[in-house]
Amino acid sequence: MRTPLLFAAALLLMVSCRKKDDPQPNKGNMRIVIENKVNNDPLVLQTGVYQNAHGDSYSVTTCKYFLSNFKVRKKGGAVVNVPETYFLVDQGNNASLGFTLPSLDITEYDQVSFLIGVDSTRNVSGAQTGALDPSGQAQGMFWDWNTGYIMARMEGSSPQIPTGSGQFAFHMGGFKGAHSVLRYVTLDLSTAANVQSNRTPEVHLKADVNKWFEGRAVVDFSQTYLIMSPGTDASRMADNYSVMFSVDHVEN
Amino acid sequence: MQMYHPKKTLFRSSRFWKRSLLGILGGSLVIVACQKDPEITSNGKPKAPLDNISFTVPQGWPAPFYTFAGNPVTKEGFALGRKLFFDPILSRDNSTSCGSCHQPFSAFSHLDHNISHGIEGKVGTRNSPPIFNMAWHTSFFWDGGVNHIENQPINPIENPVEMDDKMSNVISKLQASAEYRMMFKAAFGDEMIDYQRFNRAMALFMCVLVSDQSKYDRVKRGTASFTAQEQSGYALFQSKCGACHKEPLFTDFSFRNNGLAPNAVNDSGRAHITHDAADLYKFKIASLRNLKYTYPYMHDGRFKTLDAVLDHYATGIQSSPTLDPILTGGIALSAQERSDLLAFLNTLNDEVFVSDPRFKETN
Repeated sequence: MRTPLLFAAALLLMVSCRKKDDPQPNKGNMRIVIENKVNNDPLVLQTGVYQNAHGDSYSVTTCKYFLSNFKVRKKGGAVVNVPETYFLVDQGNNASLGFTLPSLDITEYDQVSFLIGVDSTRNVSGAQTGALDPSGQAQGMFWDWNTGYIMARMEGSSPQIPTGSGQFAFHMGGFKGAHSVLRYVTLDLSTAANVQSNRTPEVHLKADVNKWFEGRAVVDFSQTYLIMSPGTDASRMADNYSVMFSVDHVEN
Repeated sequence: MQMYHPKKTLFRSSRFWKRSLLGILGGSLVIVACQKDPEITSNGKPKAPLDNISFTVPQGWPAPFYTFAGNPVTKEGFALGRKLFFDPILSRDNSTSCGSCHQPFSAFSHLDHNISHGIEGKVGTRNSPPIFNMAWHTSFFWDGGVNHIENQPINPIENPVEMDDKMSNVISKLQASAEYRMMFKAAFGDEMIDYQRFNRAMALFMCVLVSDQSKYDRVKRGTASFTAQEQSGYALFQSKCGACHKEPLFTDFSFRNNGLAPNAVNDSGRAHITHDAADLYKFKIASLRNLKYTYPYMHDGRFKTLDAVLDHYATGIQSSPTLDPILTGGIALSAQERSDLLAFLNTLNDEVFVSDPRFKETN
């Protein structure tokens, strides 16, 4: 009489001890892999030399941005929100160039969308953790004096810059009203990503850094080399980079 | 077949009881040795009991802005926040704590300091504001740059002229302390110390600091009465000051230019945050509670006395494009009126708050 109870208890214990992001039955993961490029060349920090639309040559020392609030669309079906997705992509940290969207329904997905930045709610909700921890992963990506995340941060140098250091620094922040730099990206997957419980598709995205400097407003480094607060310059640059992502390929 | 009943056999065994007793005794010794009671000072003296630590909205007050979501008030959380508040470990050279510039007897402002000296005697440009009734504030600092109290502490901690440390370094120092690990465990369930827990503990301490025991509050609750002079002063206050210094918190938390002449610092105030010219020289309206303990006054502490403040409102207001329209004509008061108003403002001083033993440094 006691044995079935014990067995049930053991089973319960096993189930409750499973790690959080092991896919449950009928659930799988999707992996997103980011490649930062300049046009079609790989982005190499420090040493790579590139040319923007204005014709200015430049190199990049820092390239970081938050991607969050992921949604995926089931092929021929509904758009699904992937909860609690906040990732800091940092070109200087290889491990951050790939991340997992967990616990998705087993099916094919033909669209991925996400926010470049941290949604406004998280910017006003107090002390955050994980990728949003200002003392940890988000160090250097948070304005403590004007509470809010730096949604995207690009630094480097160019001979065109008229200051002694020749350095540019673009800290894209602001989440309110006309000067919000938050931008939503929607990407169709011509090859659908097939999520299985035992197979994780990889969606390879390309981010073209040069897009920061053209589009809504062509950036002339001799004029524009420092953006450190919300405003027109920041939101124009955000309009620029809102189209920097494209789908490179999907591996099923 | 006879069923084996291990329970019956075990509990009848005296060997079981002897071993259990030893185990319990041994375990208790370990527990007692490891657990520093945060309510006992290091020299063994009992600290003020914290069993009555709570957050209650005083009768008639509006709902607070801070919701304590994910951060319920507990005496362990409060004790931890209090210890952190008074601990100079939060500074680079372990010299400067929050309490260095936010003193309990000064309603948590910096008594008699127009601007404060932080690490290595460095000074800033703004007056240390008092800390009370924080749960109702919708923004922090004179320019309102911080939008949530849990993201306020990182500012003085990382400010080079205040505590000059890195938040990550402070957290490492706390993680290295057995006492803090135990207090975090008592407050949050395990020894993990991170940015969120640190700031939630700080928020608990700061938001529990409610000042609602002034004579004014007792009058409002019906347990005291204004004198005739205080009553006259109250009427004057309501007509001449109440639009900005809204009851019962005595501020509406908005940013106004009250006609202070810019000095060499040329502090742009709210405009520093919004970059909006319309916000130039606007600062957060300060509460009028506890003025007795929080001099000198204004964002840069330029007025040492309330008479100096009232002189400013009478004849010292500087005209400017962003001067609050309500102050264009100044605020004229006869000598009697001034005396009455000061008598009323005195009823906003909360002696209970500034002498509350639970809010003091306990080491």
